[in-house]
Amino acid sequence: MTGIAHRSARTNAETREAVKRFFRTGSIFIALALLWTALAFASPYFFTQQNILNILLQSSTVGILAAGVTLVLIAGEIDISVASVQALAATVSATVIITHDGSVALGIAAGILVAVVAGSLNGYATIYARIPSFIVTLAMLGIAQGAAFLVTGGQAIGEFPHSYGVLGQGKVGPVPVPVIIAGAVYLVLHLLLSQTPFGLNVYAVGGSRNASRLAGLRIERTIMTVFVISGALSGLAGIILSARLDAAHGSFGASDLLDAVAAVVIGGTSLFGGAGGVIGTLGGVVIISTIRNGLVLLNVEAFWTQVVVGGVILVAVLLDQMFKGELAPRDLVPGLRRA
Amino acid sequence: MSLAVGSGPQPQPVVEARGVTKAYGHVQALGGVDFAVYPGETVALVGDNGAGKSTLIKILCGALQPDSGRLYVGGEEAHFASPRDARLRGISVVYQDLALVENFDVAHNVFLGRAPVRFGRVDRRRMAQETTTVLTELTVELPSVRTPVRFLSGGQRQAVAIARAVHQGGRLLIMDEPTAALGVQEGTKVLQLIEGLKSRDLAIVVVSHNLEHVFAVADRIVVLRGGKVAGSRAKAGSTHSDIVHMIVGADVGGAA
Amino acid sequence: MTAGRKRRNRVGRFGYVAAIAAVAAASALVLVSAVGAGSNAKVRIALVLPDFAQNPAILDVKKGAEAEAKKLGNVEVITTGNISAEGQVKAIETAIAADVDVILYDTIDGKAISPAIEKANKAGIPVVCYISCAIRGNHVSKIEFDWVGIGKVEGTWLGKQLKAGQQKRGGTPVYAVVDTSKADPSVAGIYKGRDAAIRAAGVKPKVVITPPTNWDRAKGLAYATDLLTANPRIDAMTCNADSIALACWQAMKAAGRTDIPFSGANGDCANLASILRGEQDFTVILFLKSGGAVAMDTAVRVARKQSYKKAGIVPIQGVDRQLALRILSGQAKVPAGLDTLERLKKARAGCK
Repeated sequence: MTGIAHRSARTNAETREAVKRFFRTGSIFIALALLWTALAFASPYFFTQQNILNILLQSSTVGILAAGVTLVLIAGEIDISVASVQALAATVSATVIITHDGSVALGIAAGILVAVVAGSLNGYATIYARIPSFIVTLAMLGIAQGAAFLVTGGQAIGEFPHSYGVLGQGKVGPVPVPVIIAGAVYLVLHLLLSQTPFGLNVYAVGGSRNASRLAGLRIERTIMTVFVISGALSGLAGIILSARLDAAHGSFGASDLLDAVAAVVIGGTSLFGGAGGVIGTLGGVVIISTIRNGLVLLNVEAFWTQVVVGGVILVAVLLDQMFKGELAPRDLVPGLRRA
Repeated sequence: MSLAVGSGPQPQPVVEARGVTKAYGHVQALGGVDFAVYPGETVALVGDNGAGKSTLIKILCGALQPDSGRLYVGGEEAHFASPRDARLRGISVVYQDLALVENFDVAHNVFLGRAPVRFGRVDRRRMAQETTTVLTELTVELPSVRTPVRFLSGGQRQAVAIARAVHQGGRLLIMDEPTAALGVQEGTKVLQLIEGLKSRDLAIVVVSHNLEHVFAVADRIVVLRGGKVAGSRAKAGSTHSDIVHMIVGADVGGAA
Repeated sequence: MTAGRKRRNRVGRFGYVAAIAAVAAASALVLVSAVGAGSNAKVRIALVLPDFAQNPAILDVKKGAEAEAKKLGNVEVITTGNISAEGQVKAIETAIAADVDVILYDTIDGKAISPAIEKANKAGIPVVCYISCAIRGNHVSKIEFDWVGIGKVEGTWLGKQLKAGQQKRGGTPVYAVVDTSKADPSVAGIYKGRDAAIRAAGVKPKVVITPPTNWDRAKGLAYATDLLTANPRIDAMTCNADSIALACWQAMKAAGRTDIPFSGANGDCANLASILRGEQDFTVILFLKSGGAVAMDTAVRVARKQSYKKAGIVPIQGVDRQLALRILSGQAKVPAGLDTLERLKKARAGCK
């Protein structure tokens, strides 16, 4: 047998690869489906259109942040400033619109611009100052958070005009606007990562810096772009969040960082870079929101919340590993002899 | 300088380096090297550790700039600012560490940095087809071009790296220690692969410290010692011990 | 004879000048020391608070105290806000080392902070506590909150709503709580008072309570939404903090359940406006800003060795729409020293 192997064997092998690939990205949704089934049985209020839409609505801004984190992680870096930049964009936008009577469009533009600048600074420091991105974005976390408080003097600034509020509270039919926006973000990012040469570069740069450099890829440009996109997404999330709450305050969404990173990890994107995707992250985000929703619906004692969240995450990731074929149930029993 | 005595007028070298020097701080890695590769020939570049082999090929492939000296491609002077420049001038490299992306499949690695685009989308079908073609031509056996390379054996990965370099087209293929990390069986397969490349009208430079493998594939052997060319010999008519003497320092005679 | 007289005259004149100079110097000294112990000596006050970035109520305290310091003049305030008790302990130790004139604090944890207060006592620095005090250590003045009392005021109103719900719909009334924090002792005190007042109203409701929001309004919105989803019957709801109550209202609007009576606490302008519009139903005004000012005033008086009040309770007032309208129209009078009328006027004018 010469060449690439007999045609039928090749098709079999390729089908197997395709199936494996499907499970790698889609497996988290199996875990999600199981969770939803369990909750549907546990509470009659869970599986209604309104409640499911609520879950998606509550996932929207964290989801947008998580999408940005995913992108940066795939490129082999990390961005932990996302939640703070979200708050900064929200407070800047609120200040422009409410305190200074600017137009809604101007406020939104200002908020997103500030977020993009933050992202660019992250990228610049990581690439040219050669500071590890964890440290850079940790510093930006503090800077953006502090700036968000300074901008509003520590107060909550509230009551936006209606055209702004629509972004957070409006609906198209039964579907809330933030869900539509988040959905669009995920679609665009998924296509970007999976279909375009830029997306391919992101995976290459994250997979092997050395190989990418030797192959002549523009590493600096790729990394800068992912940080700028992450910044822009944080800005977008800030606008939507403040529209939803009809107020902006430096502390809003501070806990979103942990949720976003957890969602990305649950979704299967490797913390080492070079692998993963936004689809998995989407599953992770919805799982986290589902857990919170379930806890309130079932009136679970609050101290159990943290235990349950941690436990469900662990189980979800275990199931995910098994579906990906990287873990067999047998491996979980220490000392079990191999056949 | 000719391959066979009295074969007629000399052809232009595919790539030539003249008077190339390179220093790292106080260490003179190359102290004036003349090195030429002619069309269709397979040249082995040998020498002890620190003799300057890696430095020379890095300069030839554009990964390093020489301190002084000149490079010529097909008779014309050339300057390479990056490996990409060298590649565009027809020089491809298979690095010692292969420079593959582990998570990518075979096709994506073959097309690393050169993915074909159709209407803004990466054309994966074309990638798979052309990869299959080049692997078939090289008589490499792989179950699927969609297998991530991290699941392949060392020899198979070497084949992928070579396939990438071959697919890039070009006139010169440089290989840095292609068999060093492989066992006997896989090493032999790679040597067969290299042998198969000769029919493609490629010039090949193989850097190796394995003299047996050198003698298996090379037409000519160039020995570097202490940053200078210690000698150049046709394989026919040379023995292992001749080469070893040149590597180590006892001159045996012969033109560069 | 002439020389002797001349000598006597010179001494005499010198003596007069000396005497006048001495008296002048003595008076100057007396005057200076009088001013030093009086109205405008420079004083340094350490203001140790809980985290005012998260909790808008504490922010009010900070604002009130710092504004009062500015008004009094020549007061340097060193403010710190901490999420943890140990952070507050460190802040007090730093204040002792910096040799401030008075330490003014509001503690997160009365037990954990006590050793630090005792250290301050040993160092001879007077300590004034506001809202939440340490359980040990000497204080020259304590201006406290009666958390249980606040809870009772809110609980009385909630009890009334629950009773009405029971009469209207029969069965067991449902009492919903959007929790703010499990760790904050002020919250615990309020719960105690609320539950006692509800019991006193003669109702035994079913209680549904969400996980803590920690004053995160986004969480408040999410939890309130889910609470409404899970409980088709709610007779009365408390959102604990006014900032969260705004999110509760949004959740109710989105779910179409605006008929549920709900309350908050703090007395923020936006919430008073909401009450006037008939959206939120009840709040307890905590006169924190003015309380903060009173506390700072006390601390400065202690530092300048002037007379000051040794103890006080920060006043509160429960307000629903009916009472608010009566206060605005002048039919109901507000106890002296409380600025409820001004607050309501500002709320009616749009809180700018």
